Amino acid sequence: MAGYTDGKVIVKVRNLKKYFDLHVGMFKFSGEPLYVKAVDGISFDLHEGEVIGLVGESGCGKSTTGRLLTRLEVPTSGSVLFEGKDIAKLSGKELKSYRRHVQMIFQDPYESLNPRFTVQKTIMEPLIIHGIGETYDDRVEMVIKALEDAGLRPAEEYLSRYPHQMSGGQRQRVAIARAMVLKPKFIVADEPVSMLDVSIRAGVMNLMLDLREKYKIPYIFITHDIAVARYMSDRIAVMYLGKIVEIGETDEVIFNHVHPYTRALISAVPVPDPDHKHGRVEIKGEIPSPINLPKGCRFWPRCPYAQKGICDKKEPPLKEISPGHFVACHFAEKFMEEEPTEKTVEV
Amino acid sequence: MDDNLLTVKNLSVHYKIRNGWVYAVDDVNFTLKRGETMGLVGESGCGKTTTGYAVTQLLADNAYLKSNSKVVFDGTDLIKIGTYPSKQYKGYRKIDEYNPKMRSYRWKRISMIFQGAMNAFNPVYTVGDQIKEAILQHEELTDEEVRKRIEMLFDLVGIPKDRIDNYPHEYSGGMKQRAMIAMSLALSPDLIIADEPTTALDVVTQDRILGKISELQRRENVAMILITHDVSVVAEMAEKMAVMYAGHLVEKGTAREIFKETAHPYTEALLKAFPSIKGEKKRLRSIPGSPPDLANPPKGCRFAPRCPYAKDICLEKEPPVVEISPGHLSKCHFAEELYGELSGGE
Repeated sequence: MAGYTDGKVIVKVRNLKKYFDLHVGMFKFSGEPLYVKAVDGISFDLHEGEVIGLVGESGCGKSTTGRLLTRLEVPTSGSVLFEGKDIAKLSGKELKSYRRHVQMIFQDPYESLNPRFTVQKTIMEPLIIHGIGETYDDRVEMVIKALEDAGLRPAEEYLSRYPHQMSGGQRQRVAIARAMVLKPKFIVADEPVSMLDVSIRAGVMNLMLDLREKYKIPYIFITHDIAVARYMSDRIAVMYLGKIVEIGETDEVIFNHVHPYTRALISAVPVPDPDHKHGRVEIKGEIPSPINLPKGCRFWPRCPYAQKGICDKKEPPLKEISPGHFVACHFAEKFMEEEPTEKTVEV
Repeated sequence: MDDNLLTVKNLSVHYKIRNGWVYAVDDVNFTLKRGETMGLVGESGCGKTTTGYAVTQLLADNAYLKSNSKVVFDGTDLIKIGTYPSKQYKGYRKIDEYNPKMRSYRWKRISMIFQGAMNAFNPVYTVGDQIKEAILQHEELTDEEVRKRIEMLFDLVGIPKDRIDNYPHEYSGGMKQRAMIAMSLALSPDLIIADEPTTALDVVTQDRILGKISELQRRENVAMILITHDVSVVAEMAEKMAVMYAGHLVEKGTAREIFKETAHPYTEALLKAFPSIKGEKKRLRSIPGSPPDLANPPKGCRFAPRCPYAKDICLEKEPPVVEISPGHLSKCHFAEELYGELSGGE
């Protein structure tokens, strides 16, 4: 699906960082400052109508990135530019208006909906907050339209229901309708389908893609499931310990990935085909703590190709190795030419 | 005498609720040989966990088994041992929780890997002590021998020995899961029932643990029932596969047959709803509607209300189990007609 990156840039993320201070309260002045570097300098552009899949293991900073984009967190440094303005500096009216233009869909539809609100009240609340719609009847009409867009038809039947009267898939559709009713400029979806059952998941994913087609709304789609990311996104960004290690068009990242971490991650994804030969790329150990990050490349202690003196000394920058495909690895060019297969074991 | 390690016949588990029954598992049949792996797949609430747990009779208080249910393990009918005829409900058997004979099977011969190892360990005992407790329940060993066994087990699953005396909260998620696997292997069982062993884990950890399980399984010749909602994990791990929907086993066969020669409309729908990182990107098909309420299952085929191929008969009569080819069974009125028409995941 090339072409999405030609559109207008909606959000520009530049060198975005978020450090969480571990010394809070009475520990504030004790000892050395200690930070969790959840997001540590990431940059990308989100274009009109584009879906970027943000993938990585737990603790890689993908959810924090989503929260920074929606300003549920304030960045430590760096910027998120929306319509030319840095959202970190917004306040008052401007911030409220930003909150209208960006919406979030959360993971758990059992917890993200107020159990005491009917569907109508849930979806109408943002309209009231932002003063949209002249009369009550106008708003009801908008709510009905949003529900129908979200595939809950006939919408009138759902208006007076409470969350507990609906299935998980229906609840997530209500959450989507609540996000869409404001006609946002972009949406951050944090693992929106990981709680849903297979047969229902496909419907919700198709719905999100259809709404993208219809309204050209770009998404940031955060997921740990690479097969889901492939289905949903035009571009995929792979994160590891707060950094983007590889970003490019979806099939480029899935099939022509270059970074050793992406290689390991994708080789680990099970394929629903019993004839598929599974090649395992071994990576050592567990993901290190984001408090004491390794020096140099963050992946080097686990990387089978790491070279002493290079990888553990200098942090690799994100380089463009082919148009639109960026990789943060010292040996990106080398890996692009030759498939380093000798360390892949057939199982 | 057949060479099956496990034969499950006419297994029906119903839960008694205030005003009626939940027909969670109805008439499930399958067999498992030594060293074999069967993937049991289906969506939440389809009865796959109840089926797995019924083998060791680890079920809730209100669970009753139909009297004709049979779970024959290594020549012995476990239902006869561990349950007694219910006085209250005719035609049902109730589980005798503390039956000592049944307890001698649990963990020693049939062990389990529980769903969400995160919470399966007791937080106030060290991991080592918990494994020790399981071992000493069944074998008389000295402290030193037990220690040696645990060290060997930790070696197998790749956890450093100095972590034996740690508490569960000091472990990462993947390590807890591996410790759970170590515990399930502690008494060299013949059968492991693994309930979503990797669902809560990241792909890299999942891959490593699945690799570990199949390696150990091959080495020790352990049979396994792998309960999961993820068909791709089954494709990778299991030679046999059974698909459940709303308490019924709807299709059964080798994993290859089920993926490539699908013979049940629900299996087709399930495979089509699954995204893959391989092959072309195709639009996923969702299944309209939602699974039925098992307290009140539809008459006839339980999948009929959501099935694109359903005809009148499907809403009226429960479909028979049709044998498509030896060992490949489908519970569908039109299994033979649809066989070859349906397309699997790829």
